[in-house]
Amino acid sequence: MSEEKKAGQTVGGKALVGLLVAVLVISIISVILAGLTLRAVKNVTKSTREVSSAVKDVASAITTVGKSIEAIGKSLEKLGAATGELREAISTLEKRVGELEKRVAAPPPAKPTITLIVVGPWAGKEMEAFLPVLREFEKRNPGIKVEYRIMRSEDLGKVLPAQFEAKTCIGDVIIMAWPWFVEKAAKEGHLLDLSDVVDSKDFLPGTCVVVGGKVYGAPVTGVLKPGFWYRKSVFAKHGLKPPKTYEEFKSLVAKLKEIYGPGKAIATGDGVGWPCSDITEHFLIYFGGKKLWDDLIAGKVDWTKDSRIRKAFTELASLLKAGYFSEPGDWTIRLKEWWEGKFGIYFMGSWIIGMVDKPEDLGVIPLPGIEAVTGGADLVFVPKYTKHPEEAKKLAAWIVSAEGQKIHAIHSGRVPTNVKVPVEALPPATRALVEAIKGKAILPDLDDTIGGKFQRVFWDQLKRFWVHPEEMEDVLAKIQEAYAETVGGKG
Amino acid sequence: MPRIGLNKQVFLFLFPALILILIFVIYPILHTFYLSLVDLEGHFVGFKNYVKTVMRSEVLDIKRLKHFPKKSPPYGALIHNILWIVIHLPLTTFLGLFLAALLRGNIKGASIIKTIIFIGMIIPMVVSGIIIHFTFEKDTGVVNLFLSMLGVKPRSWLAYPETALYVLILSSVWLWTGFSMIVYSAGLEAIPKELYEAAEIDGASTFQKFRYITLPLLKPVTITVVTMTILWELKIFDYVYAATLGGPGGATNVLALQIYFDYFVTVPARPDLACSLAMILTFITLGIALWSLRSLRR
Repeated sequence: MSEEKKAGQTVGGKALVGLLVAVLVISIISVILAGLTLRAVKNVTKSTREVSSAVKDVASAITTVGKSIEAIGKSLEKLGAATGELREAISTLEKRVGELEKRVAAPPPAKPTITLIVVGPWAGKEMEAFLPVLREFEKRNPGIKVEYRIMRSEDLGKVLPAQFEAKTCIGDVIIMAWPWFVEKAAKEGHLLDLSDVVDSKDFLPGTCVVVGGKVYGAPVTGVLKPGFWYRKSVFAKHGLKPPKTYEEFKSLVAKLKEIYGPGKAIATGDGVGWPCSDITEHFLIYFGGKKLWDDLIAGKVDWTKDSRIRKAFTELASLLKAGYFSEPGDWTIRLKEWWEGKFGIYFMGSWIIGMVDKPEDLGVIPLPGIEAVTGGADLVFVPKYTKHPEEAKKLAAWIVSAEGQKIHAIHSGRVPTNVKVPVEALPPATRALVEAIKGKAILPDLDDTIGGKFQRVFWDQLKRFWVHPEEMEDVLAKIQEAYAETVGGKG
Repeated sequence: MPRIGLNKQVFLFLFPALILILIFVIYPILHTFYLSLVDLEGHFVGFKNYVKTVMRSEVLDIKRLKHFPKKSPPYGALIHNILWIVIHLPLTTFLGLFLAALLRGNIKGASIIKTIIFIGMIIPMVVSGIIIHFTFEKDTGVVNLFLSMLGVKPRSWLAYPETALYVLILSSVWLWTGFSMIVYSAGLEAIPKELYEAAEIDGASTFQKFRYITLPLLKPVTITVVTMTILWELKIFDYVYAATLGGPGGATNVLALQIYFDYFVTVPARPDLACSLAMILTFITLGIALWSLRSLRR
């Protein structure tokens, strides 16, 4: 052998060994790998089984989901429909918004607010009692504002004739205490017919002003002039009682003079003169009765000669000379003074109920046995020259309505003239007043009924009579002169 | 362009005012005069309305006047106005002159005092009437408070016919004194001081200076004050209306108020009586104005 052959044989042996080693390594690795693989396969098989079961679960879940999806699908269908509707609604809304935007850009003309002016005689507490009636009207009629202005009947009587001639008026709705004036204005064609908004049957008989079958004036709440007011607590304190006879009345005022002093037993109010005339009328009714009233209004009596009138004035003069009455003084100041205990009793109208802080302490003494008391209601009317006739008539109708009068009566103590107002709705003091004059007739105020020159002279002469009762004959002569002129139509 | 003559220029300038006077003064006076000559039916009756209006008791109560001053007012509106002149005129005239003389020169506080006195002229007459109405009330009036300190029994002074008119007249003095004081003040300032100096040199006393220098030189001023005061007293209305409305029992009634009652209060109105009374008042005031002008020209 050659060296080449020997070298070749060494190389070949080494290669074989290497090959065997490689095969062995590879085998070992293969076995390991197989084992690992086998393990893995086992794991995989296990996992596969798990996966299978999971897949099964998934499948069932998918089935469930499928069903849910079906349900969702249906819901989506519904939603789609709803969405469609919503889209339509949105579209409509968009249109409306567009319109609104246009409106905002150019707002439509606002409905104008009407202001109505009510002219009435009440001031102070009486006014405060009336304003709730107007405020309630405003609440029920948005778009209408109501303004209240004060003017007494005496001043309206002077101002309105000239205004009517000029075809104008200071208010849309006027409240006034003179039925003769309202009747005259209606006859002269200055007032609006209220028959379409007011039914005279809803009111106490004879309280509406009716001309030619049409209603031109309707009564607001009324007042009574029932007699001499006293404070129950004061009477109780002095052990005094309301009198049952005229003699007891005279004894009472004599006692009051002892308690309060001369000129302080009976407070006398004043203003333009009506407080004295109210007292005088009470005495005239007491001594003359309803018959005298009818005769006076009809113009059938002579003040200087009629025995009933002379009796009333003579009796009144004796009480004045005895110093029972005070001098006439501003009636609101007198009210305060009397309430505070400076005077014994006070002849005043029933509006006093709304002017004192304890109306339950009020009592009233009509002259015992008197068959009637005077009373009256302010009248509401609408001038023809108002710029808002329909609204003014509506307001007038409200003021005299049962509801309007109820509100007024509760706050003021006045007496409703609308028969639909239940007595139970009235405050206790007013109910007591109504009780006190039960059975007595209500007569119209004399000077308000006759009016004209008679009223002015009657008031003025009584102021004189009050401080100089000895001048009774001259006072009666002056009253007769004015009375004859007025009822004769000459003044 | 031709020049307009001076007379025509004057006329053109006065023309607008003349138109207004014609419409609002001349025409109403003429129409009032016409109404004073006719009755309620429009028939011409001449001066019968004048006689009727004066002879009624509201204007001239002769029966009661016969017993003046025993019997208290009312005497009638015409007499009440005359009483107003008789009492009010001398008081305001002399008081105004006295105050003007007193506050003349550099008296400390003179202008303040003059202003206070003049306030009576500034206050509206209606307000003054209402103030007086309550000032003389028995229990609440301020006047009774002062009078009771002097031992005078309090009373409602305006409620009594015997005191109401005089209370109104006397309390109206403070309303008008300011006018006479101011006018006299101006008059006194216009008197040359040299006259007083010359009189002093001649040994004249204060009273002599006043009598022989001041009074004669104040004659035009006095005529003006007297005329204006009488006219004010004749036309007085709102003050009386607010204070007493002419009462009690007509005791404070005045002519202007009676005209108002006749035309605006009496129903139906009495233009025959109202207009005739208004014309009487106009003639009286016209007479006084003419006398004043004549006196001033002298």
